[in-house]
Amino acid sequence: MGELIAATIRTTAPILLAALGGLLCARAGVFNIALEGLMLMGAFAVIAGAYFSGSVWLGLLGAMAVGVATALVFAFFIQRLRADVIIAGLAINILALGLTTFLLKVWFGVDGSFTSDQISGLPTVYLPLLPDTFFLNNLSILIYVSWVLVAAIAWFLYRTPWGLTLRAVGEFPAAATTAGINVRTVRYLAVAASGALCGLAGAQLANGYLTGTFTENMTAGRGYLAFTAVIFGAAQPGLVFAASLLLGMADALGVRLQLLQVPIPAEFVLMFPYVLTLVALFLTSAARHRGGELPVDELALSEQAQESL
Amino acid sequence: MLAASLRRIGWQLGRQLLVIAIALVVGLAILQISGYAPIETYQIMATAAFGTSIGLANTLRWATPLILVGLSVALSFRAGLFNIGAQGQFYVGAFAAIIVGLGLKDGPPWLVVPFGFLAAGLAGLAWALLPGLLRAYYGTNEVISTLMMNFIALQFTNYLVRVPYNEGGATGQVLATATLPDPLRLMTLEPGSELTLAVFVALGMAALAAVYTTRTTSGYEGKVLGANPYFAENGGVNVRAAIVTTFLLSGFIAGLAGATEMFGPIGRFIGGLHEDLGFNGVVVSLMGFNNPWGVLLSGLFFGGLQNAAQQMRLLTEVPRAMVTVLQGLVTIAVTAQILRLSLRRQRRAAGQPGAAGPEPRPAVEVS
Repeated sequence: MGELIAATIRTTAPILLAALGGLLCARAGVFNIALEGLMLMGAFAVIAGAYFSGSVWLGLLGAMAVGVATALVFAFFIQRLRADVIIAGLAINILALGLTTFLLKVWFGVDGSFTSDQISGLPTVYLPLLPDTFFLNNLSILIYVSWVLVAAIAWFLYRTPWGLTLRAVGEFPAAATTAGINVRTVRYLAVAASGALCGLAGAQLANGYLTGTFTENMTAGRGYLAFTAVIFGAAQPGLVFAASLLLGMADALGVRLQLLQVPIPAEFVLMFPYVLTLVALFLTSAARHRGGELPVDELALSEQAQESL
Repeated sequence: MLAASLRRIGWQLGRQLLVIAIALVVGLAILQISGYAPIETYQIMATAAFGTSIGLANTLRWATPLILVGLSVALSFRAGLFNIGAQGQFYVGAFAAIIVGLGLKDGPPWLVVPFGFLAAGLAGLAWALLPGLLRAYYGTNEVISTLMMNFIALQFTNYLVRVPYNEGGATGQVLATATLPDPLRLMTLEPGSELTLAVFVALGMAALAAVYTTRTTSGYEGKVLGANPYFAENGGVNVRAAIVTTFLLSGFIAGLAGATEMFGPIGRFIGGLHEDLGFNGVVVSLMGFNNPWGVLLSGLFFGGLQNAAQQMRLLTEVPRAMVTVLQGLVTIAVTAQILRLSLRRQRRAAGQPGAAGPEPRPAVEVS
C-alpha cells in the first residue's frame, strides 16, 4: 500500500505540473491541447541542456525556456494568425514529436532512446522533521514544487487582482475588454506560463522520474492526461490536483495489478479515469442544459461554453 | 457558374500548394542547419513516393486509410462538429474485422470479407454514437468526449490483444492477434508492394461521400448546420437528427479504415497500431478543404509522405522523423487563417454572392 502511494506520487507529478499549465490556459479561455507537445519539448530540452552544459539546473532552465518558446509559437498561431486552437495544438504535438525524435538522432546519434550517466538527476529533498523512510520524504524536488504551485496558483487565482483579470478574460472576454484589459496579452502570458510549467513537467519526467534519459515520444499521452485532469477538475486548482492524483494512481495501479496477477485487467484500470471524465462531462453539460434548450444554441454558443470551462 | 467554381478550386489548390511550400522551406532550413543536403533529401523522398511503380503503389497503400479517416473527419468538420474520434473508431473497426475474420476463417471469402467490412463500419458507428447523442441532446463538448472515447478504445483493444486474442510466442514482444488466413486477404495489385484491393474502398467511399455531400438532403443539411446553425434550425432542419447522423456516418467510415488495414496489407491487429492515424485524418481533411475530392488529393500527398518515411532508413542518412516534422509544419501552416483571408478577399473581389459571408465557425475561437 505504502509502495502504491509512493508510486502514485511519482506518476502524478508530471501530469500535475502540466495540468496546472492547462488550468491557467483554461482560465484565460484557451483550450490548450498542446500540453503533450510542450511537455515533450521540455523533456528533450532538460536532457540536452544538462548534457551539453554539464549542469542539471541549466538543463531545468533550458526545459522551461524551450517550453515557453514553443508555447509562444502556439500562442502566436492562435492569436495573431487566428488558427483554430485545437488543430494548432495538435500541430504543436506532431511538430514536437518530430523535432525531438529528429534532434535525438542528429545531436546524440541514436534512435529511440538516449541515456547518459554524465547527467545527474534532479536532486531529492530531505525534510529533516520527517522520518527518513516516510513516503513524503526524499522525493524529487519538482514534486514538492508541484504541490507548492497548487497552493500558489489557487492563491493567485482567487486572492490577487491578476488572478481576477485572468478569470475575467476566460469567463467573459468582451467585458474584460471593456474594463480595459488587453485580452491578447493575458492569453499570451497564460500560454507562456503553461509552457514553463510543461517544461517542468517534462524535466520531472526525463530527469526526476527517470534519470538522464530521453526516449522517443516519452510523454506517451501524459499531456492528454493533464488535459483530462483540467477538464475533470473543472479548472479549479484543488480539483485538478485531485484529478491528477486519480490519473496518476490509475497509472500506478495498472502496472501493479498486472504484476500481482489480480483478475482486473490493467487496461480497465487505465480506462477508468477516461470513463469518469466522460460521466463528469455528461453531468456538467446535462446540468447546464436542463432539458429545454435546443442544441442549436449550444452550437452557436459553444465558443463561450468552451471558454468558460 | 462553371468558371466561378473553377476559379474557386484554383484558389483553394493554390493556397494549399502555398502551405506545402512554406512547410518545405522551413523543413529545408531545418535540414540545412542539421548538416544534411535538403534538396537532395526532398528529391529522394519524392522519388521514393512517386517515382517508381512500386513507390506509387505503396503511396496508394498508405493513402488508403488516410483517405478514409480524412473523409470521416471531413463529414464532421463541414457540419461544424469537432469530432476527433476517428482514432478510436478505427481501433474498434479494425478489431471487429479481426473478430469476424478469425471467427469465420473457414467461411467463403466472398461472404466473410464483406461481412467483416460491415462489422468494422458498424463498430466505428457504435463508437461514435455516444459522443453524437451527447452532443445532440446535451451539447456536450465533442472534442473532449471523442478524445476520451479514443483513449477508451485504445485501452479496450489493448486488453483484447493482450488477453483473449493474444497470439503469444512467435511474435515475441509485440502484442498482436493471429494473422488472418490468406484466402481472406485482399488481392495485392502490384507485386512487391503492399497495395491491395482495399484502395478501391477508399476511392469508392470518396465518390459516395461526394454524392452524399452535394446530392442528398442529409448532406446539404450537414453543410448548412456547419455554416449557420440558426439558419439550419429556422430552415426546418432537424438539428439533433442531423448531428447524430453526421457522427454515425463519420464513425462508419473511420471503422472501414480498420477493415481495409486488417483485410488488406496488415492482416492482424497490433496493439496501438497506427497511433497517429486519427490526427493525420484531421490534417488530411483540412488540407482537402473538408471536401471529398480534396481529401482524396491530400490523402495521396500524405500517403506519399508516409511511404517516404517507411523507406528513408534505407535511402538516406536523414532521420525519418523529418517526415513527422514536415507533417507538423504543414498542419500548423494550414491552420493559419491569414492565408485563408487572402482567399476570401479574392472571392469578394470576384463579386461572388455570399463571398463575404461567415466562414464555417471554428469550434473554439480565440480572438
